[in-house]
Amino acid sequence: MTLRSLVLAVVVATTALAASAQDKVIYHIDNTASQAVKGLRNIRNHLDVDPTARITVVTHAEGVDFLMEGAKDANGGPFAGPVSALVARGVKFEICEITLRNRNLKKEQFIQEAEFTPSGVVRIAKLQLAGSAYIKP
Amino acid sequence: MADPMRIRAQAAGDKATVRVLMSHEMETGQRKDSAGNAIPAWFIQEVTAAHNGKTVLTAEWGPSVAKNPFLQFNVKGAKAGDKITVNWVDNKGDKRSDEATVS
Repeated sequence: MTLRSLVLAVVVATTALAASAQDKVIYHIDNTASQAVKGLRNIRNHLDVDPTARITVVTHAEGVDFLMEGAKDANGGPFAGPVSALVARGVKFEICEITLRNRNLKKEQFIQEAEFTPSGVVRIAKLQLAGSAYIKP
Repeated sequence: MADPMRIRAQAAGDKATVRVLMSHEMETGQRKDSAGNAIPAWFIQEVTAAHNGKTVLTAEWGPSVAKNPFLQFNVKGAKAGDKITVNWVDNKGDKRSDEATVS
């Protein structure tokens, strides 16, 4: 891609940013095995079509596993790369602290990009009442 | 004030591996906004790290470093309980200092 087309793309992207209101979306993940790969793909596609969407991923129970250091999907591909790529695009990944207590996990076991929330379900309820769309992949 | 850095320092053998995730826009000054005006450059210019107060790393950064930079380095002789401090100063004079304990 030439520099000019790159600059043009950036200008077009920022114009789109200014033009439309931002959609707020929650992705709810509570099972890594069945939801994580699918959910990350959904979010990537979501941002490809609507780059301005403000996406928050709320994880609890078995859904926190893909945010742990060294986590891999069923085919052995690491999760850290795709997750930090999405963080760079503005996605927030939040981990339920009740789950940490119940499963005896420490915050240090998770990748640095992850954030924490006192309760996953409360966070989902609050975000939804604040106008976020709810998606469970 | 910028968001805090996330710092992790883990001792292994006679050294500690320090990983730092900084939160910064790192605007290059080359981009234009929707009205065609250049977005002013805004980037981290100087990074320093200290081990128990003694400087072990200084770096001069420029606009080519990506947004929300990640920095990893080893500190020889650092052991569990030691303090690692990381500072940055950006070209607007904004600064940030955060500390972590080696585990």
